[in-house]
Amino acid sequence: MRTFIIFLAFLLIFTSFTVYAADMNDYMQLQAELKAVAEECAGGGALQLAPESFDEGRVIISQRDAQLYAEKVLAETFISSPPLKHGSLSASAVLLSDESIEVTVTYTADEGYDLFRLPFLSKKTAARRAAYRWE
Amino acid sequence: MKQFIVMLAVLPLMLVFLLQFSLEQQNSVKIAAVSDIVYAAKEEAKQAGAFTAEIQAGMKRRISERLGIPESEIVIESELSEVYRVDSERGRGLISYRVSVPIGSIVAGRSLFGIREEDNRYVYTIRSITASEKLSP
Repeated sequence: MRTFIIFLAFLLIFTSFTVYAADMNDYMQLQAELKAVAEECAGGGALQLAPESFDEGRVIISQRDAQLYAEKVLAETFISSPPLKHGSLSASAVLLSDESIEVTVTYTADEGYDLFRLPFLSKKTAARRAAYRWE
Repeated sequence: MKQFIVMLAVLPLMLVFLLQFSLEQQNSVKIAAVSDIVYAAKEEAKQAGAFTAEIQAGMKRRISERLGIPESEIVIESELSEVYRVDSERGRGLISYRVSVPIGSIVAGRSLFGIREEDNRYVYTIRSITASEKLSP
């Protein structure tokens, strides 16, 4: 009986460790993917210049067009990682000045899905930010 | 003798955890490498206005070297024709692309759990768009 209890304890510990390691790898990869998407949204968003100001020789980023671009990128992006199959992305573009923009991409897990499957850990959102400036 | 028989039954089960952990780490490193290579190629494509044949070949070569898989298994879908930052006909130039790379097994010791080989393959896919930075001539 003692051997069986020790076996069960090891099984529990090993299972928890394996699940945690897998979830942590997915979480770290999600962070990298969010950063890449945020960079794309901010980099592409910085190219969305207001045409009337550009004609006058000034660089002014159009926040509306940058936001639309970020939303288009999110709509067209598909990454086959487990968290992104069970969650959605949203983006928020904010002008820091006329010629600089910051985009935050936020991941929100679907109802009932957690980035960490162990019961004592819970993480349902993640966000990364990128900023670009014309010089 | 009884202890020995029990050990024989338990040992393979415990070894699976070790193998699974190693496999997870290996897959994670592979996915991170693919992700980085595709990101770098996308930055090149922004400047070139398209995923040119050279960029696609370079991406395939780097992925193949890092993952140790044949280039023929890597699938890249993207238009070869250049688009420009501002196109008088199409507006803002956008480059779309899709890259699929087979990563390998998901579960270690699949035969122990009765999982078929075709159900145990993970293909990492990235599909997205990027804004061209190439100026029209």
